[in-house]
This record gives sequence, structure tokens and C-alpha cells, in this order.
Amino acid sequence: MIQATNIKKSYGELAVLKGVDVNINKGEIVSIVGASGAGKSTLLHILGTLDRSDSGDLQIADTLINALNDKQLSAFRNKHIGFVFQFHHLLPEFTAIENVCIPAYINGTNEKEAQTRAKELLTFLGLKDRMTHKPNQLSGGEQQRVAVARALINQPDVVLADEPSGNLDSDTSQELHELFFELRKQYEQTFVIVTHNKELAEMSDRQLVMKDGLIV
Amino acid sequence: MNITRFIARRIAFGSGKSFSGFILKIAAVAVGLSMCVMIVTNALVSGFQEEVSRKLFGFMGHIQISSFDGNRSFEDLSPINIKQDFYPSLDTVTGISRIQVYARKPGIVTTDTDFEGIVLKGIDHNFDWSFFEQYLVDGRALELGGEKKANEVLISRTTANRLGLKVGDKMTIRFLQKPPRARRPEIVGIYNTGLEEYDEVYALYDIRNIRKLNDWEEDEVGGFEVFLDDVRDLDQMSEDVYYRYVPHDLLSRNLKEINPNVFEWLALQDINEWVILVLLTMIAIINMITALLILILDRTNMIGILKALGANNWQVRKIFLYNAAIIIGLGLLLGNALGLGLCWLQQTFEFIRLPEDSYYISVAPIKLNWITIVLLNLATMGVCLLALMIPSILVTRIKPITAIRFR
Ligand SMILES: Nc1ncnc2c1ncn2[C@@H]1O[C@H](COP(=O)(O)OP(=O)(O)O)[C@@H](O)[C@H]1O
Ligand SMILES: [Mg+2]
Repeated sequence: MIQATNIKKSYGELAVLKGVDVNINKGEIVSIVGASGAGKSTLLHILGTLDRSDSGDLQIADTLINALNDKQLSAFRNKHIGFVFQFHHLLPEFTAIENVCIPAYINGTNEKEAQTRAKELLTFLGLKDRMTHKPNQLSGGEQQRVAVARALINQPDVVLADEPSGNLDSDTSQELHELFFELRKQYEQTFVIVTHNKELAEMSDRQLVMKDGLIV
Repeated sequence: MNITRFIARRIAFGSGKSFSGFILKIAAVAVGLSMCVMIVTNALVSGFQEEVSRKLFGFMGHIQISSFDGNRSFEDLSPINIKQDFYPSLDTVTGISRIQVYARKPGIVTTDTDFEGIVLKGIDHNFDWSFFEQYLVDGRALELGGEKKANEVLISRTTANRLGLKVGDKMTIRFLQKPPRARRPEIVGIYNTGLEEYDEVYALYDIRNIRKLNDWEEDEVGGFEVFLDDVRDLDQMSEDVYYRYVPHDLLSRNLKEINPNVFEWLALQDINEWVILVLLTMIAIINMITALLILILDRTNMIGILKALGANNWQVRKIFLYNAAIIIGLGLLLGNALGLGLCWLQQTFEFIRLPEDSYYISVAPIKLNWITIVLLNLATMGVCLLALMIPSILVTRIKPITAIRFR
């Protein structure tokens, strides 16, 4: 699914990634752990095509990312990658279901089709009664679940999550983590999750430990 | 689903921050005021041009037919015969409404204390009084239907004021010729068209008096005035009259050829109008650029998220251009309402007045050109949006990770 080889990234003098190799298989749930500042987010952004590496090769779903121009990269990200961040990053003016539909609309999907899928996802994630709520009317856990639905709307090859439960209490975190596994069961969904949460890391299929810009 | 429209509509008036909302409202108002002034300017300039040229043509006719050397310095020296193939049948030609005769002769009006040069314009019983009747300020029109030459004259208010004459007075006119002659007609009416250069010169008189003074035959005239239905046909009709209806030994010229200066002056008003339109459009554009930059900077977070979700630069730029279009549209709505409202007020209450001696008219007239107004709206929208293409590039500088890393 994802093959990254010898990924390097520096911010000025600071070498954040020093030649990282990552392989993720379809249907896997992989967690990335490591100290703060180890470069986990940087790696996730590069894997998610939000940022470009200084060197190294990245292939996602048989596509060579380095060969894509900005416009192609946007379209690729829209269709193949879903994101969940530490902060929900939902658009405040839009309801839950509208937020979920936005990636589909960007892709040019018609309203009806997008809404059908959004309803299905929100229902699956236990948000049937929250669809027409605006983000500020939702709890932290609900906001993150809406963000998960948004990440899934275009049936991406992989969902990348950066400390998705970083702002949630432990019960809510637990619920969210269980959802990831249910989604994998239901849809064979691939996840790469950066986390500080020990339980989640241990539940996952594999843990990648980052230290000093390398996976150890 | 159109993502551009979907998002743009929802966020049209900023993030709710009062300052940016205020700037956006200012921009809309600036666009509105520009459009308002454009509409009013256009209505005033075209109203002015139309009204002045209507007066000019009403006074002199659109086309004059005369002998080749006859039409100089307010004096018709070589008479032509009234029996022409085109007279009076020319008024049956489509686009031509009238043809009437005239003969002009300069004279000097003398009073006990004063004298003043004028031109007597001789006319006959077929003369169309509808124009002068509009501008009759005292007395009546000449009565020319009688068997005998009418010993009456219609003078302008300017002449009357300069010489201290009024309706009912007799006016002594001397003609410098060999031997010198004089006439003493009664002033039966006073007119004031406001066309100062003509008013101060012309008085209307029975053409039979001119014939007699000039020792012309009964069937001789100085020339013919031709009136058109629509001034827009002027160039075409001038050619037609000259080439198709007027014999080779006669000359026909339209008023623009006879008096180019005043028409050039009228056309010059177009330049004023253009300067105003361009300036106002620039003001609208500058305000809209500010508004657009504010909209974008207000929304860096949203832009980053949309990009992370896979929106490309052009999709995001379109959202903001659409947004700007909403603001421009609201501004235009306001501007049209205001501009048309002001035009209506001027038409109804005539509160803008002009010094008649320099502008030929006393009230600024209004002429609404609906097609022009529609074009002004479309052009403002189009030009603004085109100009906004450049600042909208700012969107491409906003990176998704910036929005995500630093909330
Ligand atoms: N835009 C940036 N400019 C400069 N330094 C950065 C930038 N982004 C991240 N860094 C630095 O890169 C290092 C790795 O950051 P990050 O990938 O966020 O670590 P993690 O997610 O593991 O905590 C940190 O030292 C951070 O300060
Ligand atoms: Mg991080």
C-alpha cells in the first residue's frame, strides 16, 4: 500500500528525518510512537503528501508521488488519503454531515450520492442524531468521529491519524480506538496512527518507534 | 455538488470578526457608490448631449440645402428657386419629417441709445412653430398666412434685454446696402431657447420682407431646412439627400458640417464621462482587492484544511472569487438602486441646475440608457473579477501543514 524508502527532510540546519523506510500493507493498523519532536508528524505529513520530502521515494497505491505536480497531488490526496488530526479541523460554519461531504464535493461527487455515504458513515460511527449539528455543538469525541467520517468519505486507501485521541479523555479515547478496529473489520480500512497512547499502540498490528529522525 | 458555490455562499461575509466584516461592507459600499456615480454620470452626460443637440437641430434643422456660395456669414446671397423636385415632396422620404424654406439677412437694430447687429431669418407660412412655441416667453408666433407681408418680428429675450424692447414695441432695423433701407416691424413675441450663440443673433421675420429687401423674385428663397425623424440617421440621411435628391447645382450640408465646434464640444463630454468611469472602476477594484485579501487572510485555516482534503489551488481561488462576486453583486444592487433613485429625483425635482448661458440648458437633463446600464454592471463585475485574479494567487502561498501544525 505505502512504500517509502530513504525519506529525508530538514528544516534549515535541523535534519528531522534522516532516511526513513516505511512499508504499510493493505488492511493494516500501524502505529508510530516516539518522543515529542522525534519527527512523527513530519513523517506522517510526507506520507500524506501534505509536504514533500527532500529526498527519497514514496509510492502509494502504485502511484509514484514524486512524479505528480501540485494539481495531480491534490486530486491524489483527495481520492486516496484520509486525515484525522489532533484537533478536529472541521469547518465551523458547516454541519457535521456537510463537513463529511466536503471531500466528496471536492472530488465532484453529486450531492445525493455524497450524502448517502455520509449518513451511512455517521450512522456507523454512532452520530445518527448529530448530523445537522455544527462542530461547536458537538463534544470532543463526537468532533473526532465526524473527522473520521470525513476522512473516510472518499473511500481512501489509507487513513493517516496524528494523535487523534490526544485531546480526549481516556474513555472517549478508548471508544475512538475501537472504532478504528471496527472500520478495519467492516471496510478493510488501512490506518497509520501517530499516538502517545500505550493501549492503542499495543492494540495495533505493528508499532514503528521513531528516534532521532529514524525508525528503530 | 459545486464546492465553490457551496462554501463561498456560507462564508460570504467573513469569519464573523467585526473588523473584517466591516472592511467587506466598505468594499461593497465602494462598489455601490462607484456604480451609482457611473449611472448618474452616464445619465447626465447623455441627457445633456441629447438635450443640447435636440435644441440645436430644432433651431436650424438637421440638413440645410442652399446654393453653393449662398450660405455664408449669416447671409443668403444667392437665392434659389423654390420650385425644386424635392420640395415639398422630400418630407415623404422615410426618415425625413419636414422641409421648410428660409432666407437670412443681417441688419442693425437701432434704438435711441443703442444699436445691435442681428440676423433676420425669413420664414413662410409653412414654418413649423412647434420648436419655437416651446421657448416662447412672451407674446405669440408670427402670423404669416395673410395675403400681405406680415410686418411682425419675433426676437430673442437676449436681444430684447439688450435693447430694452418688449412685445408690442416697434423695432427699427437698418440694412446696409445700396441704397440703405430700413423697416419698422412690431415685436409680437419673445423667445428664449437658451442657445445663447443663436439667440443673440436670430430674429424671425416674414420671408416676403426679405425677398422685397433683396429684390428677389416671388419664388426665390435662401435655402431649405430639412428635419429628420431620428438624429442617429444624420450621416446616412445627409448622404442620401445630397446624392439622391438634391440637384448638382445645389449644396446640402448637415448641421455638424455647418457648425462642427459645438458638436465637438458635445462629444468632448464623452471623455469626461470616460475619465470618471475609469477612476471609479479603479476605486472599486482597489477596495475589492483589499476585501479579497482580508477574506483570504481571515480564512488561512480553512484554506489549509480544504487543501489537506484535496482541493487544488484553483478550486480554492474560485471560492474567494465567487465570494468577491457576491460582495460586488450586493454592491451593484445597492449602486443601481441609489443611482436610479438619484436619476429619478433629478427628473422629478430638477435639483441640479446649470448656468444656461454656458451650458445652453438650465436644468441638467437625465437620459437613462438601459443597455449602457446593464453593460456598466457587467463590465464592473467582469473587470473587478479579472483584477482580483492576481491577488487571489495569495491562496497558493498557504500551505496545508501551516494550518494543521499551528492552529
Ligand atoms: N516548519 C518547521 N520549521 C522548522 N522546524 C520544524 C517545522 N516543523 C517541525 N519542525 C521541527 O521538526 C522537529 C520534528 O517535529 P514533528 O515532526 O512535529 O515532531 P513530532 O510530531 O514527533 O513531535 C521538531 O524539532 C520541530 O520543532
Ligand atoms: Mg507531532
